Formats: sequence, structure tokens, C-alpha cells
Amino acid sequence: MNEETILDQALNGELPDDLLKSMLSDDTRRAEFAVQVRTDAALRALLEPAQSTDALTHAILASVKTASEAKISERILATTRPRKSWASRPVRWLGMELPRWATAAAVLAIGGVIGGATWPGFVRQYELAAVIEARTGKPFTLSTGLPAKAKMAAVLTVAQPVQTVAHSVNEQALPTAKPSAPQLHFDDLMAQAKVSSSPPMGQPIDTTPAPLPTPAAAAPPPAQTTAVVAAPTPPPPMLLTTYARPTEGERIDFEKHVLPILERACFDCHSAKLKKPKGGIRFDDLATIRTKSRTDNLLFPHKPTKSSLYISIAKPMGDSDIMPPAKEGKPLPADEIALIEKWIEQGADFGDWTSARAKQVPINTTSEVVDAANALATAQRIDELVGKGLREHNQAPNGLTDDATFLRRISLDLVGRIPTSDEAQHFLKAKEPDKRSRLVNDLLASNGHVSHMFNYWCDLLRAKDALADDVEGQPYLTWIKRSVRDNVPYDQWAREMLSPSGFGWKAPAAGYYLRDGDNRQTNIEVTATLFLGTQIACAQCHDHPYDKWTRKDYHTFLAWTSGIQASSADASVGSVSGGMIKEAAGRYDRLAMGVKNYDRQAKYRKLSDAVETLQRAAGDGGLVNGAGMPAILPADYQYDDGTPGEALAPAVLFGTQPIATTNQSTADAFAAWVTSPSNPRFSLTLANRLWAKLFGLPFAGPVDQVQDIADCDNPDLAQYLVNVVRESKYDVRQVLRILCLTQAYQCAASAPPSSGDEAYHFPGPIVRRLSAEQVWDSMMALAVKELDQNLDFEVAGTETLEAVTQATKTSDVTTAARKIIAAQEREMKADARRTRKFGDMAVEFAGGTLERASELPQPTPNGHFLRMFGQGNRDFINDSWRQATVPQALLMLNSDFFDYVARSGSPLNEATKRSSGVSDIVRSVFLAVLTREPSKAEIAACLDTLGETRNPKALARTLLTTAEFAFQK
Amino acid sequence: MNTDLSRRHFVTSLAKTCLGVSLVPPTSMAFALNAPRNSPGSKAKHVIYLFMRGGMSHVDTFDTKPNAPAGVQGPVRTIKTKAPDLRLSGYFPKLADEAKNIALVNSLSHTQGAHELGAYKVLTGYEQSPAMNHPALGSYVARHLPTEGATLPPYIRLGDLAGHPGSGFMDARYAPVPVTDPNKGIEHTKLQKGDSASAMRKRTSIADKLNSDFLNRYNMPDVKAHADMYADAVKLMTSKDLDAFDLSQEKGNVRSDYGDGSFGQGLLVARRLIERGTKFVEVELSGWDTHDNNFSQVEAGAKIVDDAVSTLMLDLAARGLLDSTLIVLTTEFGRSPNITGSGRNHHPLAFSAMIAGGGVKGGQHYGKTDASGHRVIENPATILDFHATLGALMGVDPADAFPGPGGGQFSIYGGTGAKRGAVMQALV
Repeated sequence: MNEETILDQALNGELPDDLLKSMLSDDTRRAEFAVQVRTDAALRALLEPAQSTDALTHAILASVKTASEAKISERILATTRPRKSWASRPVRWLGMELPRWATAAAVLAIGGVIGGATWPGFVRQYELAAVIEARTGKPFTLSTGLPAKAKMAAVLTVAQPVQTVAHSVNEQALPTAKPSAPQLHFDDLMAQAKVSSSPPMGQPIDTTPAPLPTPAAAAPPPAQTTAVVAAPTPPPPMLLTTYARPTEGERIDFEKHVLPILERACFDCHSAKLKKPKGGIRFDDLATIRTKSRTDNLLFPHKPTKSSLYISIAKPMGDSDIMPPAKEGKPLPADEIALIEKWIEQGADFGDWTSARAKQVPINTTSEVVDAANALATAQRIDELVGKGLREHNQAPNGLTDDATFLRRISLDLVGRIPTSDEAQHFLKAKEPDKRSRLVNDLLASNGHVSHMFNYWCDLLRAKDALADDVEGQPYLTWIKRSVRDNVPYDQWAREMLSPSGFGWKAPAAGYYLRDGDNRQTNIEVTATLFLGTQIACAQCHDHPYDKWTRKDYHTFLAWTSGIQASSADASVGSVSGGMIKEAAGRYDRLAMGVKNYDRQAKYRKLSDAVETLQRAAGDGGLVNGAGMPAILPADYQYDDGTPGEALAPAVLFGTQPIATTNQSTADAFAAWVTSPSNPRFSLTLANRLWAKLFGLPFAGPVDQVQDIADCDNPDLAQYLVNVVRESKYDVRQVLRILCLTQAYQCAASAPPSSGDEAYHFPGPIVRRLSAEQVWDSMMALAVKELDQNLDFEVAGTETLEAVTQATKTSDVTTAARKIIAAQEREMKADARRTRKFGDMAVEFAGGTLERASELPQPTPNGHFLRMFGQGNRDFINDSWRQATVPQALLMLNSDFFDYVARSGSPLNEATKRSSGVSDIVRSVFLAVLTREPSKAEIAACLDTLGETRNPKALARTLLTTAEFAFQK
Repeated sequence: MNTDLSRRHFVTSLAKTCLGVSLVPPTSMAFALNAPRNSPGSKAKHVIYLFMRGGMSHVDTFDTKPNAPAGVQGPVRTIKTKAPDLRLSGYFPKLADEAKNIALVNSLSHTQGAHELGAYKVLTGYEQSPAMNHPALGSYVARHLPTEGATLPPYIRLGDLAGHPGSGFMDARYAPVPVTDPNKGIEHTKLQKGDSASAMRKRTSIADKLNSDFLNRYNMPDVKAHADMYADAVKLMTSKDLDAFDLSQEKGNVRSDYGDGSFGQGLLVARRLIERGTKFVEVELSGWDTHDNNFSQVEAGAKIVDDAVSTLMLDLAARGLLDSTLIVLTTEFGRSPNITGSGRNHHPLAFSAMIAGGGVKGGQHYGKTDASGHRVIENPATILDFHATLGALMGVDPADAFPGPGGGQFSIYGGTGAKRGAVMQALV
């Protein structure tokens, strides 16, 4: 066998073991073989980047994986340590002797194939550039910044070959151990790579041993063969684009260092370009990465070994769960794995990056002028933008709804109840072409709208009758209702809540803080969610695992509210000192202990409580809004960037740091920052909520966790809606008006996408179940005439409180306390009477009061109709629920409640009384309950089933049990 | 040289000769199912599931730390129990007497530090996600266990559905039926005075027609659930077992032994419900979010639990039902061992749960946390591990899985994919 054949067979793996052994025992032959292997590997990698290099990749990867990164470095270092005559001696690399240039080739090959994590660093670190220059005869530079999805072939750019004397000298100094060995010639490789000539599979690659090519003799494209000795101008450097690597001590930057790796190695299966990304994981979108981090620990900041991203890429070769999977792509080289590990250790910081798409998506509506006062024109512009989004997905709007559906929908959305029969008849008969916009205006101006939006905001604000520490919530609730009635601009309203001033019931906005008492953490978390559409709770104890907020961010943000202090519990009332009031309360306590009679005991206890309540409500109780204090990092602060107990100035989460002016409290400055028109999240969060309220789904991701505009499904629309909110000067009613006037809103409804992952492009609103309040208020509309007129905007007991602030002696306070107790007792007696009268229904409808939900206890007690249909506890932001349950069904089927609703004199009863003839009765009941005409078949079915009983109540009751009633379409 | 190399040979030789490694993949990586080794022989047929809303402090209840550094344990004592290997908080003197039938899992942890998300995780085994609504544990049990002959719903929750995942992607038949007042039970189960079964049938036939039209137009799970609930409601009206809620039938001091509050009375109702065939009864006790006044609040909550659960265990044992009834107590997360002010903050990193009765191997702690209860250091367990263990105690066949959205198969043991619970063998 000649040498050639032996080599071939060895490369084919066909060489018998004994021959292989003997070949490898010979230094020269082994070196030659090694050169062959390396060169061939590099050639194949470079020439067939797109196809069938998997096996080769495995081979080279194995070389990387068999040793630790440190070991590889060490070996490369050993092979390449600059020596006197750096290129002259063959050295060992991975157990093989290789000349330094071959090492460079191997490094390049590894880099090219596996993605370049290893090589640029090594090239730099071990000064391989000089070697490559020597071999190729070209100036060689590494440049950073990788185009997306760059493949090996695309990153190699050829420059004109220039031969210099110095290079020639080096050339001659190169080892010439085996002239017959084909050598890596970068000109050729790169020229071929550039024209991306992936030879078809199986096409032989001519690597026949050739004479040692010299740069001058290389065969670059003809146009480039202008070899000039000592070129007059410096030649353009050979541009070899690579992945950026952080320099020593540099913090790893996601976009610069990590994203290119993900783009290359992960995007084929995990990006938005796939309809169904594998495992639902998309790396091109921060929101999805966050979600997957929460659900599957995709990324766990500071904890690579808990992050499934790291776990998957760091699995041993051959593990069936390794990522990228063997059959899909090339596993990551060790240094890329190490880089990702380090990035996670540093906290998995994404910087300002939000999505791959965000960089590419131009937003055309950023500076588009909105004339918010012109609702119709604004609505039309929204329709254009929605339509554009639909067209991009080959969809069209659903088509306008009929008037009856529109009436029912908009009544539920704007006044929170179904329309009455009278309202329906009036609207359906009306002939004006603009009757829909007239209706929108009428509803927005109505009391019903105030009632409905009061429920809406109470749910979000978690407003309730009893605030923390049993502070009376009435003043706060009434203030919310009045603010809705007066349509106070949303930004002003938010500022009043975030920076309240004044005392007791006179500063009802203080309820926003008093809701949470001393639990300021919960309060700031709610502020972030409610007004900024972001959730920060996790960062209270550690860096947020699924968002960018660090624990330090949390505590410096929390510090903004540190100037808000509850006034002391022993505040004075009028000129009666706190001590005297305490003494009075104590006296009642002692009296209670001294008597045996249970009723008297109870009465004294209540008096004691009432005195203390008065002290809280009428005394200097409330909030002091003063200068803030620095954030103190908690005692168990665990990160390097701060020490426990360290004091830090308040800081906002993003944007410009506000500075309190001399006449501003810290909370003032904070409130101004939150509500600033230049704070995009404030406007976006409101726009998203109001849109979701009317359309059933948000446009900017979850209402509690909004996406950046560029990441929205329809960025132009999202940006425009933000402009609308801002240009309307936060006029919530005007924004609702604009949205209701859109064709998009007035189109027929669709069922929601079956998966939450699926984007909805708004061909119309979404079909959805009514809220508890909508069901209740709709029943009330059937039961009570002029229902919406009975709204209460006053705080009960204000006079008593007002009087007690003038107290001069203790008895003034105790007298007021007695008055309060007396009022309480009267109410309890009335309750007891109602309970006797209505029996079980007493709880079901709040002691027999047929009023809108906004007028009932906030929230209603357990067992109330509203609670059975999902009214929230008001413990968490919008903790109401909308599932169908068996107890609801039983209530609708069998409770006496319905009889009470349909009693004589009720609008339902009146509406059916006017009808004559059975078909007419059916029609009137359908109109009253479902706001539509029955079909002929339905009339027939009703007549057939109900017979001649002419029982409109039975039919109404039946319709109330249908899905059509329980849902809004 | 021959340039038409066989790629495989090329690579193999390259790897073998140059790199000294074999490219042959590791043979038969055994990714064995986490199926229980001894699934049959289990006897639990019912679950009474107690959820401590707010985040029960583990270091003050089931994972006390008598040797912790200062500033952790506060006034809480650790007491011996009737089981030599089980220690309990001094707040549980009565449970200490029943310790032989109590196993504590001290090594639970997850990553959800907010109430809603923590509760979702513990109740479902999964993190909340926009992609999928996961069913609560009770829905799995209702789905897995046969309910022949039962006329009551298989899954009843004493309390409303606020902050509850319900039956998630599963059919609404397996959703919890909320009963807000245990003393009243499920209300309106009787026809109204003057109404008749035949009149109701006529009415429901009209509603059925309208519902099917609506469902045809809007084929949504919510719409289907609506109609299903009415069908279930009508069925329930004929149940002979509705007296489960009539606590006046209890004799002697039974009612007061359970405790007067809605939790104690709820446990009594739960016992009556499982006697009548309900598979899963959930009772909630709130008041555990002890950011302030941790010790007084925990003491108060623990007393309610101690009275009610010990009474339930004795009551079930006396009726021969303890071995077939799992009493499970969980919470959304633990609380930080370090005291902040007068309270403790949320701590999902380590927390505890209890399994009593139902054939669990009692008298033991499973898993271990460090000296202050901060981190799990032995036998870490996920929520899915916990659910899988309950499944094994109920003898649920690991192969009994049903399809979820997106083609996955789900069961009480978890999904078919990576997220599958491992049974804690020491407990079954």
C-alpha cells in the first residue's frame, strides 16, 4: 500500500487497526494525517455550510466537548505560544502535532462550523491573525457585529490579495514538512464561500494534493488577481465578520453577545417565523421568553443550573435532550455555553432589547397627529389601522352587526346592563343615520355609565368598604364614584391617589394608600401593575426571574412612597387630645368588663370601638405626605451591587429620574413621573385596558403586563391608540367614545382564539361571559323602573364627623360615638326585619335591596347573588371570576329571587302586560331578556312547549337561563 | 486521495483517532417513567384537601427549627408527638396525638412568589401561562376516580372560586362546585313552590334549543360549560344525598369539636360529603398572609387547624374511613425564616405540606430544609411530585391519561413530556 492509499483508508475509517497504529506511531506520518484530517474538515465545513456537515460538526464538536474550555485553551496556547520562530515548529494540539497555521485553520473551521464562539477569541488571544495573514498573504482583521441568521458562508468576505515582502518571508519560514499535503487556502475557500457554492451532495471535492500554493499563485476570482508588491495604498482589510465576545471584565450584553448565538443556533425552531415554535419557546420575543421563564424556568437569573436554556445546551453530547437537537443543528461549543452561563449568572439582563421584531418593525404612527376631539375621524383612522393589520393576515372585518346586537353590546359595555324593553324599542325604531353615535353619547352621559365604571375601577383598585386596619372605606368609594361621574382626567385622578394630601375623610383619595395600611410593598406592586402595566412583586426578595427588575430596582422604587406616613394612632379630635380619647375608650372597656349582662357588655365594647373609629376617621388620622426617605437595602440583600442596610435614593424603573422641586413632596414627584405624557407605559396601559374592556381582548399583551409597542401584533395601531389616549388628555369617556364609534367595535363578534398563544387581529369584538355585576344589573333592569337614577354620591355620616372635628371636650366625642352606635343598631334591626320578610333571599340580594351593584356593599357578603356569579373579593387586582357553576344554575332555576324580579310593577312585567296574543308575548319577552326578535321557529317552539299557559314569566325565566343571556356577543 | 469519503466513516475515524472519543451515542439513555413502583394496593378513595390561603409559615408549623440561628424561630416551640420520628410545632398539640397517621413533606419549593401565581402552581402543579389553563388537582381526582352511584358532584369546594383555576382545560363536569356557606350547602335544590318537574322539563327544552343554537354559532368551551352546568344542576336536584349539608343531623358535641368557624364546620361537611360519594372536597382557611404579627396570627390559624383536623382524623377513624380518605393540607408557599418587623415575607423556596390518612406511611418527615428553613437540602420535591404521590396513594394507573390542548396527555402524575411528577416512594 502506498502512502496515499493508507491515508485515504485512514480517512475513510477503513484502515485496519494495526496499520493505523503503525501509521500513528510514526511522527511524520501522523502529522501528515492530522493535517489531512484538519484540512479536510475545514474544507468540508467551509464548502458545505448548509448541508450535511452535521457529522463533521459532531466530530469537531467532540473535540471541543471532550475537554473543558480551559483545557482547549491551554492546548491551543501550548501550540501557539509565540516563539522566536513562531511558525517553524510543529506543536501538539489535542494530542496531535500540528503546525501553527494548521491550528489556526482548525480554530477557524471550528468557528465557522459551530458558530464562532471559540475562534474569534482564540484568534485574538493567540495572535493567530498573523498566522492567517502569513498563510493567505492578506491583511486579516476580525470585525464584530453579526447580521441576523448569518451563516458561515455569509460572514466571510474576501479582500484583494496583497502580497508583501514580509509575508513572503514568513511564507518561506513555514514548515514544509509535507509538501504533498493539501493546505488550507483561504483565498479559495473564501471565494467559494462567498459565491455560496455549496456543491451538491456527493460531488467530489477536489482536494487532490497540490503543490504548496503561495498567495501569488492562488486562484482568486480573476478580477481580484491584482497582486501587487508593496501596494501604494493600504489594502482593505480582509473582513471576517464574527460574533462579538465580551472583553475581559466587560459585562455581557444580550444583544451584542448572546442574541447572535441564539439567532444562529435556536431560531430555526424557536422563533416567530414558525407558526408553532417548538415547545412554544420563542427566543425572538422578550415577552415570550419571560412567560416561558415563569412557566418552565427557561431563564432563572443568577442561576444557570436552574435555567432550562442552560441545562439544555450544556447537556453531554448524545443526550437525547440536548439543544440544539442532534438532528436539527450543531450543538454549541463550550465557550458559547460558558458565555451564556456567565450571562445568566450576571442576572440574564436583556438591556433594552424587547424583541428581534422590534428592531425591524418601523412604527409609522409615532408622530401622527390625533384630533381626539373629532371622535369620528379618530375612529376611522383606527379602523384603517385595524384593517391594515387584518389584511396582513389575509383576514377581513366580520361585517357590521345588526342594530339589536349592537344595542345589547354597547349597553353592557357602557352602562353594564342589558337595555330595557323601552330603550330597545326606541332605538330599533329610530331612523336617524347617526343613531348609533347618538346612542353612544347618551349612554356615556348616563348615570348607568357611572355605576358601571365605578364597578370597573373598584375591581382594579381593590376598593372596598373596609380598608386595612378597619379604616372606613366609604369616603374613598364615594370619591371614586364622583370622579367617574365628573370624568376627572385619568392622569389627574392617578396623581390624586398617588400623592394624596389632607386628613381623614376630607382626603378620600388617601384611601389608595390606606387600602393597604402599612403594607407599602403590596401598594407599590399594585401601582406598578395598575398604572405602568408591569409586575414587580417578585423583585421584593430577589431579582425578578421573569422581568428585568432587580431587587435593588424594587426597593429604590418603593422609596418613592416613603414620604407617605400614616398619622399617629393617638391623634387628637378637635381640641380633645389623643390621650383623653384613649382614656374614654378605656373607660368603656372597663365598664364592659364590670357588667354581667351580655347586651350591656356588648354595647360598651361597641362604644369603645366607635370612639377609636372616630379618632381614626375624624382625628388627625389619615396620611402625611412629606419628604421621602432613602431606600434601605434589606438585611438579607444578596447581590454584589449593594450592601444590606445601604441607603439609596429613590429611583424610577425607567425613563428620566424625577427630582422633587421645593414645593413638591417626594410622592408628588413620583406621581408626576408616573402620569407624565412622556411615560409611554402609563398611556399604553390605559389604552390597553380600555380596548380590552370593549373588545374583550387586549392589543398590547396582558393588561397587567403590557408589551412594548414594537412587540405588539399591530404596532402602528398600538402607537396610534397611545396617541389617542394622550391627545385626549386622558379623558377616559372620550377614549371610550372613539373606540365605540369604530367599525371594528361595531362588527359582529368572534369566538376567542382557542389558544392564548394565538394572536387575534380584531375582525370584531370577542364573545364573552357577562361579569357578575352585568348579570345582576341586567336582572335589576328587569326588576326596577328608573334603576339608574338611584345612585348615591354622598358619604353617610359626614355631618357627624364634621361636627366631631369641632369637639372641645371628651363628651363631644363620646356623644358622637353613641350616635354612630344608635345608627348601627337601627340598621341591624332593619336587616333583621328584611331577613324575616325574605328568608333565604336576604343574603342573596343584600337584604332585599334591588339596586345596582354599585350601590350595594363593596364587595357584597359571601352568599350574595353577585358573589355566586363571580364578584371579586377585592383582595387582588381584578380578582373577579366568570365561570359557570352548578349553584348559579340552581339559583336561576329554583330561587324565589326571580319572582321578586318579575313582580307586578316591574319593567319586565309591564313589558309583557302590554302584549296581546301568545306570539306577542313571546316577542316581548325575547326583547326584554335577549334584546332581539325571536325567529318563527323559536316562536313556534315556545308556543308548542309553553302551550296556552300564556306565562310570560316562565318564558322570561327560561331565557335567563340560556347562554345567550349569560354571554355578550 | 479518495475524495468521496463516506461521511460517517470519516467522522468516526476522525473522532476515534484524533479526538479519542466515541461518537456513538450513549446507549439507551434510560428515561424511565416516574411511575410508582408499587401502584396497586393503595386504598385512598377520597380526598379532603385543605388549602391555607395566604402562605402558611412552614417554620412555625410543620418544619420548626429549634436549633436555628437567632431571629428565626421566635416564640414557637417544637414538641414530640406519638410518632418518634415526627416533630411538630407546639401549636399542634392535638395533631401530635395523631402523628402516626401524618406524613409531612418539608421539601416543597417552587418559584412563584405572588399569591395568585403561587396558589395556581400549588393547586394545579403548573405555572400559570397564557397558553393553557391547567386543571386543579381536584379535577384530576374527579376525572381519575370512578364515581359510580354518586349523586353529588365529584368535586366540591367549600368557598367561592376567587383565585381558583377550576377545571382548566378539562370539561366543566370536573370543575369544583363552589359552596360559599357550608351551613347552607348547595342551595335551591328544590323546585319552587308551585313549580313542577314537567313544567321545568318544558322550560329546559326551550333553553336547550337556544343553547345549542348559540353553541353552534360560537363553539367555545365557556358556552358549552354553561349548558353543562344547567344539566348538572337539574340532575343534582334529584340527589338523595343533599342532606350532607344538614349538620343538624350530627349528634352530641361533634359540631363544636370541629370548631365553630366555617373551616371546622366545613371539615364536618366534607366528611359527610365523602360518606356520600364525593371524591374531592376542598376547604380553605385564610389568614396566613402574616406580613405583620406573624406569631399571633399563626397561632390563631394553627389552633383552628389543630382542632378541626385532629377531630376529622378521629371521626374518620371511628367510621373506618381514615384509611380510604386522604387529608391533604397545602398552602401557596412558605414564609421567610428571617423575621421582618413582626412578620414574615413570602418564601416559595421551601415550604411544607401534610398528608394524613389514606394509607400514607405516617409518622415521618419527607425531605429536609437547612437549619433555618431557608432552602431544601434533602429530597427536594416539586408540586407535581406531590400530586404524583397522592395519585399513587389513590392507586391511579399511571397510564390513565387524557388529552389536553396541543396534543399532550395529562394525568395526576403530570404531562407526558418533561413535566412529570415522581412519586415519593417513602410515603406510599
